[in-house]
Amino acid sequence: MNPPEFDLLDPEAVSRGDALGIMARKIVEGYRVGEHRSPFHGFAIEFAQHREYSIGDDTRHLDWKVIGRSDRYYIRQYEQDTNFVTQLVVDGSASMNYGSSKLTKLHFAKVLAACLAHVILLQRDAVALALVDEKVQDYMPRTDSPGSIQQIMERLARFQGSAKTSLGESLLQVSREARKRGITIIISDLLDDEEGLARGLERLTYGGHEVIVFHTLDPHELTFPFDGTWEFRNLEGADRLKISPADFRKTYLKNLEAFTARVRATCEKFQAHYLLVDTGKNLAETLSGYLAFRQKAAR
Amino acid sequence: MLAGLVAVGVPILIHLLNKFRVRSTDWGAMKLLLDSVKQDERKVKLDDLILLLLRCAVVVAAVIAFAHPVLKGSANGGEASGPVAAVVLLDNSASMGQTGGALSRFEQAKQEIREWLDALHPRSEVAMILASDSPVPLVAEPIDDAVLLRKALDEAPLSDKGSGLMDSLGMAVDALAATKDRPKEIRIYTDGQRPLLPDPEALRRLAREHPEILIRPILVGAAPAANLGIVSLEASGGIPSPGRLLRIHAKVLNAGPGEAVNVPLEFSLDDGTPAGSLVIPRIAAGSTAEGVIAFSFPAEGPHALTALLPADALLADNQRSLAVEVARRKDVVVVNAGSVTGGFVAKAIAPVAVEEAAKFFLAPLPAEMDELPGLLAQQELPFAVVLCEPQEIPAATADLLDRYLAKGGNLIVFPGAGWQGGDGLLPAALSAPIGEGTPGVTWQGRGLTHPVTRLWNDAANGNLGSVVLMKHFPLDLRAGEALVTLSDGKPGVAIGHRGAGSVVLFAAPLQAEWTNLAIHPAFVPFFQRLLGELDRGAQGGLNLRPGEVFRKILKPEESGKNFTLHLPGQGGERSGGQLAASTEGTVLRCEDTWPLGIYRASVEGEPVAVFTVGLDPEESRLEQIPAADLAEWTTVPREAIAEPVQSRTVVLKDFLPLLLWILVGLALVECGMAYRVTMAR
Repeated sequence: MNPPEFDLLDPEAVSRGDALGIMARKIVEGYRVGEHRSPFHGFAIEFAQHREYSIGDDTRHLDWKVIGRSDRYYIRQYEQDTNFVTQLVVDGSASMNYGSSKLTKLHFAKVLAACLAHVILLQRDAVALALVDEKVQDYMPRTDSPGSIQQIMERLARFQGSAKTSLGESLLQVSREARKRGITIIISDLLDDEEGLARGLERLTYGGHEVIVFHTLDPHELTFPFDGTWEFRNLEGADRLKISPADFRKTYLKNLEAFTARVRATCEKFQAHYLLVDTGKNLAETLSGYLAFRQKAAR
Repeated sequence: MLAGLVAVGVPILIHLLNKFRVRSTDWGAMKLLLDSVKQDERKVKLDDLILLLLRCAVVVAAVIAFAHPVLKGSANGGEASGPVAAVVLLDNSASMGQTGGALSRFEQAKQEIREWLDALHPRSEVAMILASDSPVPLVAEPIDDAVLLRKALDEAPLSDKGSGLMDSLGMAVDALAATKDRPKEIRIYTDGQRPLLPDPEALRRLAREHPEILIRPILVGAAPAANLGIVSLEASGGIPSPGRLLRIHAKVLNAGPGEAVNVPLEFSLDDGTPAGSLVIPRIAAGSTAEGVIAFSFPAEGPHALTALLPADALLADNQRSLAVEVARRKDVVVVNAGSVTGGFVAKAIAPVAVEEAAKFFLAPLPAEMDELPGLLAQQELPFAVVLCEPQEIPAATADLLDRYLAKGGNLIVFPGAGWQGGDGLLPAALSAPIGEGTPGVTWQGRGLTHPVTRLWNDAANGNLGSVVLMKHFPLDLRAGEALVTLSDGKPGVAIGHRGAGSVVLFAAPLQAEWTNLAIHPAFVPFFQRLLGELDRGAQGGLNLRPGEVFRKILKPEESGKNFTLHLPGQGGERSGGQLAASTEGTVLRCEDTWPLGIYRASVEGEPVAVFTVGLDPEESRLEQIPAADLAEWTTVPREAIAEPVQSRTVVLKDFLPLLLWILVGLALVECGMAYRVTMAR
């Protein structure tokens, strides 16, 4: 069970790199990732060579074909380092600036990305960072140095995003940047051109990437709890809409369900992993839940 | 209260306020929201509009329902829908018992009143009066207790009384006097018989004096096709005595539009013993005709003879009874029997042979004037006193005779030739005698109307016109009528009532130089018929109209005894009490004379009186006053109305129950729709 301070995400802290780093470390340590195997480990990792079995080695990597042929015990060893990288793609489009509390989706996305970066670097894997809106605004190439975590935090903290969005175009750019296949983690509300998303996913998976989509939505976007008369100001445009939300709640939720279903279907089509994240929920729980799932899948 | 309609603005105001009370927010999922609005906008707008209209309609319906809207109508048309103060006059005279079908007019009137009460505004106040010639209030002051009103109406009885309206209207106007804040109305439910309103001007006057009161006559039923009624039943001839023939006259009215032919009349005695019958050959429309039978009562005592017609529209007038006291013997005191007049009178009283005089039903008792005090002090008073040729009636004697008359005695006076005065008791004043040296005057011989003399209209019975008065005292009528009229038009015999008795005054003594009456063949039958008339006068208290009081003075020894009164009808009710003495003597009194028919009184089992209550003959006249006339008599000309608009406004039927149902329906629909919309969202 996480300590209670990990439930609190301070938007001001998220805007400061050092604080973001501390926050991420606390969340991750709370999960005790350090005591577990990297959940991102073992996927799409290339076989490099055999070495003779020594007492204490993990018997899961015994090459039984060799044992059958030679009656000798050999362990498979794999390529881990410079050929495997996790790309973190954080959407900074205008819609990500919405938050029903003082914490916006972008804040949440930054913390999530920070935590993931922390996990990956602790496992001595490589991580790259792409901060996108209508295009890739900031790209940090792969690094596996734990010391680079501060730089990652700083970039995340500085990133504000813009009014425009084109996730699909951004994903295409990201796929071009990632020369080797690896994992691409997309953190976005995906309130964009769905066809563009599909093109981006297609390009990434075609390039051999495993894609994980954290579909982040605010609780109010998920439940639409408004009563009375409201004016809605579009974050991604100048238009406004004055309505009685209660009149349209049912239809909105129906449309939202259809939207998430479409996105899920698109992800499944391209073998991308989909996770709908409620930014109002405890991030540590969300993260730990997903990481545990990944570990199980890795076995 | 219709100003409450402004409340319809409340839902509109709330609707508009909600539109202006706007909060705002940034939003990221605008595309999702826009798609949703596009899909539902039209339906949502329609739902909201319907709900707004429903809410406004609920407010409007509520305001209208409780504001009791009214519509103006004509002053004399339409029915009130707002609260009114009304007095219902229900004609319960005997003629309302006429039937043209299943229901009598009375029951029809009750039905119409019930329907009017059902439609009446619940806050209206109503009084009810039974209207007749002696009205009775059922509910004296206007009340709004519908249950009590209906109960009073259900229990209201038909009576045997005569028709009358003005007294009832007076009571109704008094009952409405205290009402200030609502329209006033008098509703008269009647068969509209002519006798209802003998003086239309009185009704017009009342309507003009009270223009604030709407007087609405409601005629119940149409005039019947035909009605025959027995309007009188009388006896004539001498004094009823056992075995002595009397002439019974039954007069029948034909109130129908056509002639009645061969009208049968049946007679019965006392408890229904057949007593004869006759047929009246022809009775013209609107006229009366008389049938006469000769009848003798079998025994002395109180009796009742009943005449019966076949049943028709009005049953109450198809039967009439005559109560008769049949006496074995009556004493007639003849004062100054030694005079010429006294001799003739005594012979006229008992015109039989001496040896039969003791058995004759009339007994002349000769006496002197100074014996009168003793004779009149007896318990059993003589039937009559005849003063033969007094020169005066002294004051003391006059007082004595006055007391005798008060008790039902009868006095006949043949003034003496030297009459000096003391005529205070007499029905006429006597002037100095006239006629000496002239041919004189005669009694009227034809066209006789009095029951005593009309027998001689038939020449076969003789000619009263041959009675001559060579000399006579001119009579100046005071408190009586002419029993006989002279050829000069002046009274020849005057008769008047005093106390419970009668006084008869002749214009001359029975002396040859004055008149030939004593030797005229008609004298004895005339005198007998006169005594019979006096007896009927005494017995007049035996045949009453509804509401009249029956009184009979009994013997003093009856005081303290129990009496029983048997009321008319089979299984009739009995009432009774104890006889008490009074200054007049022991009086048997009955005031509740409403059911028609024969009443029998007995004291400790012994019959002491029979009397009848008969219908007012006018009730048989069923001719209806035209509705237009009644309306005209009760309509006030506009120039006579001080405040015509406000007080004469007539409102139409109230819509409250309908509006309340509409209100409930709208509220249910609004709730259902609001629930549906809420669930949908």
